[in-house]
Amino acid sequence: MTIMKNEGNGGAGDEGKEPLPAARPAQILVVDDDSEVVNSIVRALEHLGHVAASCGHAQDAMDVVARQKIDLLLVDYRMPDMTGLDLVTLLRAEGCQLPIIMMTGHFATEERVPAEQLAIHSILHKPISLPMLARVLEELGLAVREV
Amino acid sequence: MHPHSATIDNGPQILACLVLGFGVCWALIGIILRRAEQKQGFERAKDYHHGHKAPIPRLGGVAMASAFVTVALAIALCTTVSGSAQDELGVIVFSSLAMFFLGLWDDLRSLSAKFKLAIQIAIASAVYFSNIRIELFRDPLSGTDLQLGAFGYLATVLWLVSLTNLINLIDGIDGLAGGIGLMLMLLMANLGATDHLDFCTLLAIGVAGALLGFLKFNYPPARIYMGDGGAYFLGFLIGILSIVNSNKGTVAAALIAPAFALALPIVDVSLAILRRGARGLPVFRPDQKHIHHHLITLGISRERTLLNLYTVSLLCLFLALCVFCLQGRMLPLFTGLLFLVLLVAGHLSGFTRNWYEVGSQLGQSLRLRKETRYALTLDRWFMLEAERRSRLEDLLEDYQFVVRKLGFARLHLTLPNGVAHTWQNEGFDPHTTPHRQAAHEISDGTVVELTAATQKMPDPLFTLLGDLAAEMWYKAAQRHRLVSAKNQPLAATDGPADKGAASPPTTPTITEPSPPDSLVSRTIYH
Repeated sequence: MTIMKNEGNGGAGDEGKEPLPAARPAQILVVDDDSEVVNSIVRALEHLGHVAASCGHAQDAMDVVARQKIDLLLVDYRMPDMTGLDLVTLLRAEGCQLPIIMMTGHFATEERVPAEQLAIHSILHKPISLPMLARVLEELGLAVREV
Repeated sequence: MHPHSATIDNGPQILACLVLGFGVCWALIGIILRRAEQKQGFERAKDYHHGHKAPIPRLGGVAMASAFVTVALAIALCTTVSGSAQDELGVIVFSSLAMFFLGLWDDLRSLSAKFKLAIQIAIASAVYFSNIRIELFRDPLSGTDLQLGAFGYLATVLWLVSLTNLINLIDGIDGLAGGIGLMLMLLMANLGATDHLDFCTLLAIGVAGALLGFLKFNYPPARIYMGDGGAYFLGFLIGILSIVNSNKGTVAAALIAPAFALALPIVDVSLAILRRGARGLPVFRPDQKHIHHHLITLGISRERTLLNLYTVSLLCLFLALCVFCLQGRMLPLFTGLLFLVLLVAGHLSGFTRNWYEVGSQLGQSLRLRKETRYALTLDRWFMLEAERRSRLEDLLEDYQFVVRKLGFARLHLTLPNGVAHTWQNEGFDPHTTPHRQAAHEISDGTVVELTAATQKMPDPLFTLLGDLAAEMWYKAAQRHRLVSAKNQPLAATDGPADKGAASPPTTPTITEPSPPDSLVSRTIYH
């Protein structure tokens, strides 16, 4: 599978140094099998002025990243087919340099996430609030509407 | 005639108690809600760990206890209760009310855990010395009775105090404690009725009616909570009614049946105690990792979570009834079945993963103990500072110190009035350093958002310290508010002075006795 390189959208190691273009809404992909969580995050992202899509499986996420222009990935840690960490490892192995944010539940006893090696921007612990999301988007150089 | 029995015609009496309990509770809650709408102040900010959101009155227990007293009076007046039974009824009513008032007191003014426990033990002891006691223990395997003697006192107090706190500990989501209480009251009514219909049965039926009235308002989304008052009252009543029932010849079964019916909360609370004990936290410290929190964080709606828990509890109740009907015979078989029910339910909800993890987390938890000890020491210091600080800004500065000491890199604190504070550690660059973020929402509307570098703080530590830090702020802000309110009249006469932290405790001096909500402008600490 070929993963589209999103040039100019911030790289694996340099997210934040070259901010994403702030003028246009960013295309954000939310990967989580929990539809309630997905819906609330998609709504929050749209409220902040961005375009959000979602998928419930890691494999679907790989396909979407390969076919469409995505600016940012929000990946849940615990998913049915593979963990979020496996997905990020695969994406990075394919050369994907998108900024990635990991989400994790209160109960996910995750193993130590090699965030530096995988260039994961941040790990958000659920429940994820609107201001928290706005803050992390700002850190990535994405403009947000007033919360 | 049985000494406890009241001469009654079964059907109409049962219906009358049910309707009376329901009617009184339902009407009183209506009045409380109307009053609460008019006067928002008559409620304490809810506990940090109780996962509710909007400010909702916690006075459901008042309605429940009033319905209980009305039903008890009706039984005493309208039925012929024999002398010894009258004494027993009196003990049940007064001790349950004492427990209710203790909880209500805690609702209105947070009491210390030790003080509450001491009063609970005192009430349970009074019950023992009023001759409502566990005296026999029947070996479920051989069926032989053991006289407990002096151990009877320990057993009685332990039983009553445990049940009182058990209901309070599971009172974390709408409808759960009320629903389980309703099931238990119906079980109590059944246990009393199988021997002879008496005041215990009628009392249980009356409270079941009251709980139906309460659940009408407490079913998600809740408009009222039972509060600590209601939870203490309900738990204690379950305990004392089961002891009274057990004195009627069904010793083992009358005590084992409620324990079976309460299997879900018992397992949940036992796991919580294990979890906290292993991490070096005080075992009765509440957290947000109970089974209902788990289901909600899985994304299951509150209503479905509640219905799932009701289903498991109903299965446990069914087994409890079987145990009772068979008088404790075949107990090992039913215990096995109970475990099976809990395991299947746990597996279906994905919670067993947490059960298995209790073991694997033990080693990890032991490593966390050191961090926990450090955090609890900071907590004690911070609570003392909260009493000494006169201005909220100073308290915020202390909190910033605590958060930094715990290893966090950034803090966003949003107060209930919407005013936000941000502090960020020098040298932390969120653009280049991978980090974790978590928001802890406290039920009074405060949001504590904490950030830490992933390398510095791996997950279990981040979650543990984040929970502790958020709780620290909640407790300190509450203490600060109480102390400020107490000292406010003095401040008017004392005049301006230096900051409270440096003043001797005997002469409280307050420079700006402004209420916390009005004081802070948007501040960025660096």
